[in-house]
Amino acid sequence: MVDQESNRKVDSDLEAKLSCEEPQIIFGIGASPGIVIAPARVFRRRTGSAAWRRLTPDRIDREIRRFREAVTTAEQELRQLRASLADDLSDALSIIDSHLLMLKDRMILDRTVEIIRSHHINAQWALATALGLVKKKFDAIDDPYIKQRYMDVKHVADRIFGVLSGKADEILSDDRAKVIVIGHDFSPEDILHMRADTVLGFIAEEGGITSHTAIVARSLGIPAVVGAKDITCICGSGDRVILDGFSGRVCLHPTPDQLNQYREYDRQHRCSSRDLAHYADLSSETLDGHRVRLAGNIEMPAEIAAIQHNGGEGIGLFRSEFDFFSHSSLPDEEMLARIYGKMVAALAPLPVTIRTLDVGGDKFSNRLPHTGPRLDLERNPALGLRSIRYSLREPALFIRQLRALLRASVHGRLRILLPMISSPSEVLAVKAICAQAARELERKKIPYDDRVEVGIMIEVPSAVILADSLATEVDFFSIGTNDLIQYSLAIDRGNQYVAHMYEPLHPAVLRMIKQTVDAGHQQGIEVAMCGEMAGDPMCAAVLLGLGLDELSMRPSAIPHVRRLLRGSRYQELAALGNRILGCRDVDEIHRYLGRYLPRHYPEEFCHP
Amino acid sequence: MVVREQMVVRNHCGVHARVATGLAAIAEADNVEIEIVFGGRTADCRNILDVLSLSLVRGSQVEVLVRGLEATRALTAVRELLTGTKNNG
Repeated sequence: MVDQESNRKVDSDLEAKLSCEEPQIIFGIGASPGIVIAPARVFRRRTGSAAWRRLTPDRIDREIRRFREAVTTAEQELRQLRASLADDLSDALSIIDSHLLMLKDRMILDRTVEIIRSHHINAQWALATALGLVKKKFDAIDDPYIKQRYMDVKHVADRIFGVLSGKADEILSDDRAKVIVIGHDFSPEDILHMRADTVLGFIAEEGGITSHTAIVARSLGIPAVVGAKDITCICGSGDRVILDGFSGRVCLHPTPDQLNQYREYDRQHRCSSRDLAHYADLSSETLDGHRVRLAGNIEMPAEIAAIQHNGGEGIGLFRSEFDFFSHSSLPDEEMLARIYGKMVAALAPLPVTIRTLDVGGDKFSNRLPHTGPRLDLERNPALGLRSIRYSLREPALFIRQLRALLRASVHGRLRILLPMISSPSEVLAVKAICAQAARELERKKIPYDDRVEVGIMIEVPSAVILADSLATEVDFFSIGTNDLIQYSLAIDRGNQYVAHMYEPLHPAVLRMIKQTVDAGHQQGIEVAMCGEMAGDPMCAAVLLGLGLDELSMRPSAIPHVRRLLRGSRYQELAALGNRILGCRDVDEIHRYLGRYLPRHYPEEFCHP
Repeated sequence: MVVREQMVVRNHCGVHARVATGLAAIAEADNVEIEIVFGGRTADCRNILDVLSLSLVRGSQVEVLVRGLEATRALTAVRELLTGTKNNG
């Protein structure tokens, strides 16, 4: 029998623990860059939105009139907002234009009127019903980018709801204190209203990096994190919050150490980009001539411009998923070969590292083929059929991508990167498929470079342990820290109860990095890192000291890391690496770096 | 006057909100009716949600039908918007 009483006791203890002011970290998505430390102002979602009310026949016309007036009011609000914006906010202007069209679209306007008339119900309920029908229509859309526009329709409908139920625009309200605004979801218009200098940044539970809300935040320069699950439940108004719009990290009730750390980050990011600009053109070497390659992580070919602008020395990670998700059908070999070839040629002779399809878990498209049982039944997707495991299970799709990659190899220096390798047999299996792809090209007399480099991601602990064996099979390693940290520390950083234990500078993680570097160098192959950690200046000095040959990061982080590199001596970096490897726990490492970094890199890490 | 033309969508992210808004703006400016036919469905460009729910992505082949006095001019504008790669992501 279940002991209900003690269960309740455990529940309430747990709740007490969570509600007390313990430091917590929540991982969302960095939607607009910048760091803000400020008290929170939380807007909780209104519950029980639309009440159902049956209308007597004589009230129907009046209700329709009320609805039409609400639409007109909403339209006037949007037009006023539009008129108040400067012409240079062209993104924002065209978003408002699209919302004006949605407001009067027949699927919203005419259909709501129809529903009021035919069902004799109140406007709010009718509007909610109409919105539900629109949602059904958008749910059937395959393309993730267009599908996401449903959020815009919802924002528009919410605006009409607001007018109908006489709700004032609360975010505009009287606050004079500078705050971080936190809510379930914000519309682009909410963000435009936030330009008032009392709102320093915002955090939303919903949304993605390509949402219109994120686009507007970026064009206004308001730091933002989206996709921060459950934050309105965990965080209360007045709580102190650190918002890191670069990494998507949110710290609640930050510790003094975290506060110091982020103030330093902030200073560093603010130190004018003019200061940093000239680092884009300088070589990546230490004062004593040790060279390290600083490359960029991107997911669309258009981002090559950002790599060039920041002086990146190649692509350390191109995530190839976009082309598989964004077209009406799966991309064919011709199309992929053309896209990859252009990228390789654009940066030649610099290396362009393209990771093969890395799907699974949350990254799945209905369009991807899958044989056997349905994939969404996986109980534990992080340990399931993802990444290279998926590619090996669907060899027809995989060989298509490999042939396209081989064809692109003649245009410059291509490196093929295999994700999530956990044992040498997988490398052998891929090599066999790769050889088959090469034979097929030969048969068709299509040229390719038979010396194309093939490397693997090191992101599963078993790959670290077997790094010496794996190094004999491949041309390079690239350490993916995000997954390596999660798998080795057994921490899901999307889980609010344990996310604070996600720690890049964990001694176990650092030792794994060192072991991988040593195993690679023993076989004479390069070891790169392409995880978030590589672009974090707090970590960069240590990573350089551990002997990595390449750090690949967000393009905008490259000049920061280059400045740090150019201000260092390799011997000192190596000594720092050794010293840190000797530390037994995370606190000791943070304490040490807290003293070391400001002393050696006052420019980067000292308070003004 | 009615003009029609087959074209292939070239916008990098497909016909998303901004492109769909652009189509409505052309219909408004030239006072014409613009219809897009794709996969057996037809959307009137004044209805942005119909256009979005056609889910047109890069590579989709569509038929564009324009009715009105300025149909030819409007068709040129539509072609530029859907197949030109400038400034519409």
